[in-house]
Amino acid sequence: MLESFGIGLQAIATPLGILIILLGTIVGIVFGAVPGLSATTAIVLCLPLTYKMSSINGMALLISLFIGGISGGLVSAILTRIPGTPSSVATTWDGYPMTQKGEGIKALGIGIAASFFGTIFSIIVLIIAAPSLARVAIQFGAYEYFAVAVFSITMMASLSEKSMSKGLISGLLGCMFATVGMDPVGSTKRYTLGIRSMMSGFNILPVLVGLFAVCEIISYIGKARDSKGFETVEVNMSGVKGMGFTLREFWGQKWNLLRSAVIGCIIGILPGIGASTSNVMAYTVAKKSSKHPEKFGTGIIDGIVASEAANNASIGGAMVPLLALGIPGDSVTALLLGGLTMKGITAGPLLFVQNVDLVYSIFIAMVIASVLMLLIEFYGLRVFAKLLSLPKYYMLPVIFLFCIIGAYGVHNNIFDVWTVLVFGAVGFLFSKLDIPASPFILGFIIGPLAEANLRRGLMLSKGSFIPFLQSPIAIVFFVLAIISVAASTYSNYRKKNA
Amino acid sequence: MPRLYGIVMLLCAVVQLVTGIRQYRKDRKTEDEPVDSNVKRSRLLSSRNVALGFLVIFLYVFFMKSLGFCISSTIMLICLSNLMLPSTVDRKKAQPIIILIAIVLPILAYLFFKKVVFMALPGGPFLNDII
Repeated sequence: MLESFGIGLQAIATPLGILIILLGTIVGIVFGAVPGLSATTAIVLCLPLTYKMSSINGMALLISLFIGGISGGLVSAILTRIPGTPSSVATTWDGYPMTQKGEGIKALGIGIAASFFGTIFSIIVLIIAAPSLARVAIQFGAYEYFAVAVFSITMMASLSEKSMSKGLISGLLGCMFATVGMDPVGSTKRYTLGIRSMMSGFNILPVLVGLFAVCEIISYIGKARDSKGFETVEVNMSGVKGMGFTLREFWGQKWNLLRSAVIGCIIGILPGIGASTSNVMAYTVAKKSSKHPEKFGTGIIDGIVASEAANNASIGGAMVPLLALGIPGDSVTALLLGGLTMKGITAGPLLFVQNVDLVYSIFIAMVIASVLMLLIEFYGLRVFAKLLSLPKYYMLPVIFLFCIIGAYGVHNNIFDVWTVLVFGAVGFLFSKLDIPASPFILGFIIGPLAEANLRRGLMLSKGSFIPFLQSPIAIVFFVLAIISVAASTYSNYRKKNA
Repeated sequence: MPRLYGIVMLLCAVVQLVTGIRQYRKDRKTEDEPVDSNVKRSRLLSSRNVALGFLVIFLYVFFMKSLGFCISSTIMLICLSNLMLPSTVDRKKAQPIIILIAIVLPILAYLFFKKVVFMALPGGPFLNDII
């Protein structure tokens, strides 16, 4: 293995290679930070640039865009409550409240550190265990995926503390909206209203932009007239040293970091589920495991640590099935697979034999990109603080403009921009009726996964539910789901009777 | 599957209805404080601004294809920024910066996305011929 590392290091550690990784990380962070743009968009745009590059440099560019893009989402999530990417949704829940308390720099600092830890942890897992972990992931069939989806859906109960029925309604509405379009198994049209653009359903990016960005803007318009000085957030940098948090605070998060990174890795390894799910899952688990769950959502570092460690750990996890089996873990790794195919390289077990230098160059490029991400975001902290001092009546409309560009850019279709408006209205209605929006997002993402695998499983078992309960992996997830619902119900019951 | 979601949502809605009725009966026992007329006026203005905000965004999306990205975005940025201006800020002093950002930014964004990123935003009746 050391010899292979040496070969990889020799291949990537050239001035051009390092420059490519640096530029890729910066562009990735910018795309991740701007709501509406994402790591996927950055990779799609830079894929043509890799035509003329060598395989190693091309993959290094794409990987560094991936790492920068996932990590960059925390900037807007913390500063404006608008997640830069779907993988930073959970970061808004504690990140923005910390900004409102004047602890925005601390929130950014701890988020950056957690992102770095999550990425490095998942790279170590990737290097040590890629082939073995891929063999486990390949055993996941329809029954197991359905069980994972059911377990994820039970998280809705935990995300809706004030009123479980409202949370479930929100989550089920998310599942309902996700059914719009073509049926994933039978290919029949559902709820398309005769509109051709609706046949592919609603894309997650415009939904997210509408639910968070439009809702935030409209809510701000409602409060702005009577605001006295809350249009900017005062950030006092004078007492801030380093990344804004102490070593003691960071050490206090060690178990949270480790647990969230493991969750992110596992979610990342499973094909079809990615960082957009892992951050919410890790946040919910952190909340349930905490001695003070009532503090989550009020602005504590635990929530940010869980979300950011998990979403970045999904990066290494998603690379496991890609490199070891040639199966992409999520949409971004699907593009990376495209990048490999363009170079005439076949991902899979033979990659570790025939292209050792490429594989280990990818590992080293990931480490270098993670370190550069940490340094760029650390030195950018002061710049991010300056952004906070911009009045919101200048900043929010500009952010909205980029959100619209991002939404339009999904399919170059005005339908996606209408989607932003519709879900903006939905989000605003939710905020007025005190219905949580987070279960909606979870339902929107997980609903199709649950439905497709339930129906595939029933087709395989000829309509019988028994095989779902015969798979050991599925049983584990069903039991976890029951425990999760029971624990949330008991916790709510105790609170009401306290 | 949608039917299953609908049935479970109906059950949740029944639970929510029962909870809501119980809460209403509990709240009805406590007397409401009379609402100050200034607070009423403030709420009305806030609702009006929210409605205007939705209208601006609706019109922006509606006219984006016909007017083009740049013109519609300029109008949208000016309207939204003015809706977000607090009463403590001098509107006349803020207008030049708002108008400058509203004119320059959409043009720069249009050029960047068209020439660098190769993503064609709606040009409208004029821009496609010029650029």
